[in-house]
Amino acid sequence: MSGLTTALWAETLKFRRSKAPWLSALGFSLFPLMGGVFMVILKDPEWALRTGLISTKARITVGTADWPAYFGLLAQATAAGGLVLFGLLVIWVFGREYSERTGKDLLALPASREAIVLAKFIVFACWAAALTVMVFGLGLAVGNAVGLAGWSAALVTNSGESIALGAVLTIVVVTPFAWAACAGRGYLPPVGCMFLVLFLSQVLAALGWGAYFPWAVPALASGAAGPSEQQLGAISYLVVLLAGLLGVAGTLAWWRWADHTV
Amino acid sequence: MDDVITTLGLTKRYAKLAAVQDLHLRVGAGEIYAFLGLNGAGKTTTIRLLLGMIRPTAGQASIFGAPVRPDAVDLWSRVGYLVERPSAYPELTVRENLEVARRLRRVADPHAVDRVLQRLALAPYAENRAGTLSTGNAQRLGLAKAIFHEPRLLILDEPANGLDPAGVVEVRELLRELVRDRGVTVFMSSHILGEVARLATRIGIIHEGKLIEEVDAGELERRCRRWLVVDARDRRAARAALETAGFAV
Repeated sequence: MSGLTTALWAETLKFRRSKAPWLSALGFSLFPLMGGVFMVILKDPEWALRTGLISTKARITVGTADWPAYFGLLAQATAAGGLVLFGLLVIWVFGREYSERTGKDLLALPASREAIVLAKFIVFACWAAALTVMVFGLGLAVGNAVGLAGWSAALVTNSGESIALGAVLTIVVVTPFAWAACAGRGYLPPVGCMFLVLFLSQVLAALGWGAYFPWAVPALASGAAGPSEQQLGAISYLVVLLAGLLGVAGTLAWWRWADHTV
Repeated sequence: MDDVITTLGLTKRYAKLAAVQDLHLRVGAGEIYAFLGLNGAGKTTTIRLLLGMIRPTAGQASIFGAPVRPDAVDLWSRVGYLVERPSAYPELTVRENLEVARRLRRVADPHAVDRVLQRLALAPYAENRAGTLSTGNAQRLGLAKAIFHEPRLLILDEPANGLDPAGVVEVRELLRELVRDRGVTVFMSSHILGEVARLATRIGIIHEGKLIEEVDAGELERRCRRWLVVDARDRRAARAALETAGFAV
């Protein structure tokens, strides 16, 4: 593809020099840290009550403070919270070209528009993957510091796979927000779309149709609705794939065919 | 003279609004063609059509004999452009913004950035973030991105916007030099006749999306009537005095 390497270089520089990597890393680091706080509370609720960490009305004292519970929490947070954070990230990567009116400088170049769009998706996906690795690594450190019980190599492998699966599914399903950022020429329309989708995910999951709604699948796959929901069928992965293809193809088509007036 | 820009019945409609209507243009190599019109006349829409940023409703545009298409990547290496107000990545320095443009434009020579920084008096700001530039320097950066790869055709939308009078003169001299020394063709829009009359070899006047007249620089000079508005408390006496002094009133 014409100019993919240079487009990748340019997108990486733009991303690296922005605040997005730091802000997203800060946002994602909250998952293992908050998970660690929950584990501390579960481990010794009396101590947490005495020190004022929780009030008498707190309802987070049900459960066990061990590695399986902590990894489960991390997987759910990465999948459900990831939808918002990865969504905001992909919206920023594409929406900024409209918000800062720099998109017009990318339209008539020796590097093809397709190369620029793909470079943006690649930079986004790589950083999202790096954030997931960071969450897992920080999770291991926090869990170790808290002194959780129930450690095993098999558990680490399985949990790592579960978190990675949730992250990959989330990275795929947020790609349509990139299209929304282009079609909406900025940040607000895609953010509105994202929250609408998040709301629908909750409703459809509650009604039992979540396995067929792409944006509900990552959370279900992470066990947010219980272990039985983790056994998703092929149709769930297919709808996620279709949503991802729609997002990438729609964004490419938009850059290729739409009237660019910003 | 070879035509660098050709449009045949180029038209762009947005619902009921005809932004550009049946535009027939021919711009020859080495010309400075000024596209003159009021705000909203269709100048920027025409420029976007020429750059493949929007698709025509009817008609077609060609640059260097090749039809304008969004995927005409080889064509764009010979074209430099500035559309509407200039923009840059605010968190990148001036140099980094130009470096991004250099790589995307596949300019192999890394010194091209330094040369254009010098040429547009941006060297003192090279390491400043683009977001901190004044309007005038942001315009210079926009122009730098348009010219640094030594294009054969420059398409510039209001290139003197935001520049102080000295900057306007500098840009005028820069464009003259590019045309004279390198045979560059310039297509520029403006809404100020006085600005383009000093530079253009030909002027096209667009109004409500239609090209209503084309004149060359000499013809414009002949047609221009030079007059001065004078007001006085006693207009009758002033008129008499001026007529006595030999002025046509």
